[in-house]
Amino acid sequence: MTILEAGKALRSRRISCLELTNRCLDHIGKLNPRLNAFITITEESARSRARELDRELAGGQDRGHLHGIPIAHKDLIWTKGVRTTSGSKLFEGFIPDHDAQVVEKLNAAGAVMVGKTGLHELAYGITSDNPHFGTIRNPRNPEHIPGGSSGGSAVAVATGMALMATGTDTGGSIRIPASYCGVVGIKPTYGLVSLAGVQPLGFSLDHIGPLTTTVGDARVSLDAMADGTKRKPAPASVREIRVGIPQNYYFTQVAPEVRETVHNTAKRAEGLGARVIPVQVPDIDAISAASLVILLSEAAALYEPYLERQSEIGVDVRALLYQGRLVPATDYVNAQRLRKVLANEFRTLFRSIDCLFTPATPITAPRIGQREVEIDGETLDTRLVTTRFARGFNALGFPALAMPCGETPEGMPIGLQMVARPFEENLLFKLGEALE
Amino acid sequence: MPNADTPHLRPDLHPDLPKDQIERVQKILEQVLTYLRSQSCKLPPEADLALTYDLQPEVDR
Repeated sequence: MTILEAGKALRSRRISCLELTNRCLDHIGKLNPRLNAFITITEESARSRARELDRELAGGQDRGHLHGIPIAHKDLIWTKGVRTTSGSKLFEGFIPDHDAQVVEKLNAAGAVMVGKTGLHELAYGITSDNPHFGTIRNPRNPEHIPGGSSGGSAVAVATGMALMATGTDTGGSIRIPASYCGVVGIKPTYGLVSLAGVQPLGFSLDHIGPLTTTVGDARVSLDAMADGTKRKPAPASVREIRVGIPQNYYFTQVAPEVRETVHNTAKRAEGLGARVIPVQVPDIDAISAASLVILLSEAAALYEPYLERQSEIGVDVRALLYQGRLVPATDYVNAQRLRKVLANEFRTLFRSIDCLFTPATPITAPRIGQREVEIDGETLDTRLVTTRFARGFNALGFPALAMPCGETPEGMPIGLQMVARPFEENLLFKLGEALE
Repeated sequence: MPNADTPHLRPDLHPDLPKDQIERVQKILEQVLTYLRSQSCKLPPEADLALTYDLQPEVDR
């Protein structure tokens, strides 16, 4: 059931907030032991909150689309009185004394928190294979990764354990699990959703957004999470939207079924009336390189004080933190300079288009433990391949939405990424909902 | 053999890390820094740093 469907059912009294919450808790009880999407389940407080929201609805108080909707928060988003681990042993006993601002906003909108979802340790990786809290598994095939770092959030939404889950995205951590699990995830414009009370990773790259099963649900969730006045209105019709299809970079070193499916989706957009325009994109390797150097440096600076507890950090994250300490300041500064130049080049590109179509990930979800993939006869590092199309947009700050657009013969989801100008999330929602 | 121009982790200073992890991050960093430097050396002197507020421009359609 989607958020919008649940809303109708709640308001016509076909279901109560408590029944809806119990339904999600039942799914968690049945599926979580196998998929490991949740670190903490807040069963009692969820039921109590759902009863309260039922009383409000019965009394005529309606908080809007998220009233009585069961949601989950990624476990690096502070929740008052509820343990917030960041998927790390460093914070395994941390209980915040206040909510993150995004949690406050979602609470005010009437959402019911059913629990806290698992993630790649410290949100610093794409597998969600967590050495402290266990391996999170892809619901389409449990031998495959769900993607990360917001792996638990994507799994929770894909399986109906929650109707929406929050995620964070520093180098693709919302869009990659959305792509691998076949759900919708949006990384909004940088700064649109407040980062207050969210464990950082890369200060100038971190974004927060929702994961949902439909684009419409992502829209109403983002409405509740962010200040709506900053966003530009959607175009009146899909016919007004110019879609850029990259002729360089985004369709090379891509799995053939991903390439074909995304091209077919562009044809569908054209069939809906959008104008599809072939474009040359600026140097994506450069913006990705800048983004990674910035992330290595910022994450290492952040976790410097914790390195004396190195044995409590998993080896993959520890290696990245050590490596980040060695990045010369000149490279960090030049990465920031290059970032600004490339942001201007992208703004120029977006004068001739309104939206860019790319695959969300060049491949579908790899197997757990698979460190290399072969594409077009070349052997490549799984982590670099997975983040290749997503990472650059963290450095640029442009909004980017990932949504399912097909699947392989084996049933693994294929994700489309749509990118727009800053504050034009509504344009992405308009086109995404039309494509659904 | 690590590239002399790229900072590298010394396995002897990090006995807590498996060698393959060190090699993996080393390979990625070398690749990334090499490309970054090949591009940043072309930047004009007036190209200054991106600050977070630069990421939120209102862009004319």
